[in-house]
Amino acid sequence: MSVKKTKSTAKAKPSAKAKASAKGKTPAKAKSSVKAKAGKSAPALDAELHPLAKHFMWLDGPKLRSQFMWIVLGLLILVTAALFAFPNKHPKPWEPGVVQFISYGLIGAAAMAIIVLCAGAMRKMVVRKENYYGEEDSAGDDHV
Amino acid sequence: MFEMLLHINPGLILIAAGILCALSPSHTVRKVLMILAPIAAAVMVFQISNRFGVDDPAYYLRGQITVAGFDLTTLRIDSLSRVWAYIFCLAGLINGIYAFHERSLVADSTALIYTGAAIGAVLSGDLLTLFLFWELTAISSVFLVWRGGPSAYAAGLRYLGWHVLSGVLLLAGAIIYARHSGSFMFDEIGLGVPGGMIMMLGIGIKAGFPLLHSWIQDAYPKSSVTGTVVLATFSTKMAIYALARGYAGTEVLIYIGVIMALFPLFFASVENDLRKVFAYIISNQLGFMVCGVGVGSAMALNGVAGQVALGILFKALMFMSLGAVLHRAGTAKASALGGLFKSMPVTMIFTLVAAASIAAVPLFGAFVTKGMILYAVIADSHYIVAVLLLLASAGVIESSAARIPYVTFMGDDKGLRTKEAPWNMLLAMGVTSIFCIVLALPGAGYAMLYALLPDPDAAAKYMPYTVNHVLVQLQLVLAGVFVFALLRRKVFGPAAAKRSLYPEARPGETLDSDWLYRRIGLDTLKWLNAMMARLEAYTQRFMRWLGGRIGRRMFAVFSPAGTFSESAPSGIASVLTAAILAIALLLVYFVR
Repeated sequence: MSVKKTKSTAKAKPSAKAKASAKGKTPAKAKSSVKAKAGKSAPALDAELHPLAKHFMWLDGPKLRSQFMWIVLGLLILVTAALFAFPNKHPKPWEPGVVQFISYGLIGAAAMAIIVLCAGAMRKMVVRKENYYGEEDSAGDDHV
Repeated sequence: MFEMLLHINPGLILIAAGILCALSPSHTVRKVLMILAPIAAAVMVFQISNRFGVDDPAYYLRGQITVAGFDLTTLRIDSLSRVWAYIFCLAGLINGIYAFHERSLVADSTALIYTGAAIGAVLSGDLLTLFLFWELTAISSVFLVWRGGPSAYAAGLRYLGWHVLSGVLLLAGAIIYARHSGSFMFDEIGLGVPGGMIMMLGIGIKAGFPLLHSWIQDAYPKSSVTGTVVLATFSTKMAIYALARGYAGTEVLIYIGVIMALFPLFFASVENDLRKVFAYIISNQLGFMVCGVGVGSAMALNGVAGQVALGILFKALMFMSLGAVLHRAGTAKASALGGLFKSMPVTMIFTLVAAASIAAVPLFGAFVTKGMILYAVIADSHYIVAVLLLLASAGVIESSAARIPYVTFMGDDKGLRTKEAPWNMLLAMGVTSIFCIVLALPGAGYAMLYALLPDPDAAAKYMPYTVNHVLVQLQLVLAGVFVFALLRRKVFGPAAAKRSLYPEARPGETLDSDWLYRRIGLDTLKWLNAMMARLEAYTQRFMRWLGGRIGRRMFAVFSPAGTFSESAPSGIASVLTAAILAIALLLVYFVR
């Protein structure tokens, strides 16, 4: 495990034992959880980037983040326009008329919207607190 | 000697290697065995299938032995089982590379035995041999669950319970079936024969049928980093093979498959543990396969076999990526991850390959196989089913193709700075990625896969790379990604704390059908236990009271100070004697 979690709000690096007692874990187990590292600012964080990642930092830019949706929409429009040039020779029974050119897009959008919009209700119905069954949650520990 | 080897089930090579592993204290020896044993098994499968062909039962049925009066056919490499055998061997090799850093005698040996048992099962020719390997997969794989640490113990027991039940149902059904048919041969069974339904139920547990599926989401995420990858590969796909062999064309499987493809998506959308999210996606993918088996046409079975082959690869790849994240960052919880592409860019690339393969993006994984199943469903005139499968196909983009890569690598930077995954993990992920891409490439790429499918002639008629197919699939994926991005935009609420319609990841336990036995069942047992304890206490009190009362009465009658010891007048004594004599005479008269 080689993790450094850096937060500007952190004041001091707690010992493994102190962290263990704070989390109610054994010191050995605390060793494998995320370490806190004191006083690192954004430039310091950038200094710890993977060499390959340095070339792709533009992916994390605010401009791309805000415009990503419109790029996808542009591609979607292009693909839909292309479908008019290459229509399905054997439209399916659920694709009457012009629907055949947008049916897969509608299905994709509908599926995503239904799942995401149902998530709130699903959460109320089926999500409970983490120790609901009274068993310790081990997911997140690497025992290798 | 070589001729004799051609009668041995190649799965036994891995099982023998697993036993050697268990005896070897050397880490290097164990790792060499983990790499070489799957290669040796694959070479054997190739030799046997190449030499004797896969079309004539007179040649492909081998390894016949008689044990306790039962005729067993321990080896069958035909066109159906060959695909599973090859892909299991490849998965075993990749798992060996991925776990190269792990120093665990138990994990190494049980992973090999588990792999060998799975290969043995898909290559077995009769139901008894299948049952033996079926149970061996259960017993060996539970140790991989327990490798997840002390808190995985209960999940492991539940896992073992389900799998042993599956085996018991399989055996019970097989015995009933054999009494009816006179043979244990594992050929087409169907639901119309005695024992057929019981066997399908047993297979259904391993295949993750609805309500019987919860062991997947319970055990897989609790296993160790490497254990999850191994577990996710074999058991469920072995069950799909058993369904394809015995129940192809069973219509009810179409509807079971559709439910399997749809319902996990809703559970995955609220789950915080990304490994559990992906365990739900496994159920979704199994749904497509079960549906294809239900259709049962040559094209559908080709689609199923192809989807199994590529599904094993891209699901393993996703679990390997999440395992690498867990190994380095110490967590796979969505609420704790974000911005990891800055530390693990290579792992991110492999995750994106897995995501694209699952979403059936052209040039990646499922694009060349999932369409076959849909094509077969439409050809079978199940139009509503086809639309529902399309919805499931698009829905999977939310959880696996968009959410997992986005939340883990691109989401809000949580300040996690780690090392990139170890070299062996990267190598395993790289090899798997290459297979995911190469086997989906136009031309010779997917043709290699299609040549191995159960009916290569039917497969050759399916053209995945038509312009229209590429465009509609891109439209499906892009529309899904667009809505994903749209719903993640924070546009609601005050400017300082804007929120989106997309639910934020929050820690929690997702209740599934396992709630029935982990909560209701357990609570009922606890209540019954408490009631039994009370009943026992009341019974003891009652018995003590009754014993004391009887004792006191007996004492009052028979003790030296009791009634019978008192002196009685001779008249009463003579009446008593006469009464006893009368009773004795009556008894003698009537009894004789």
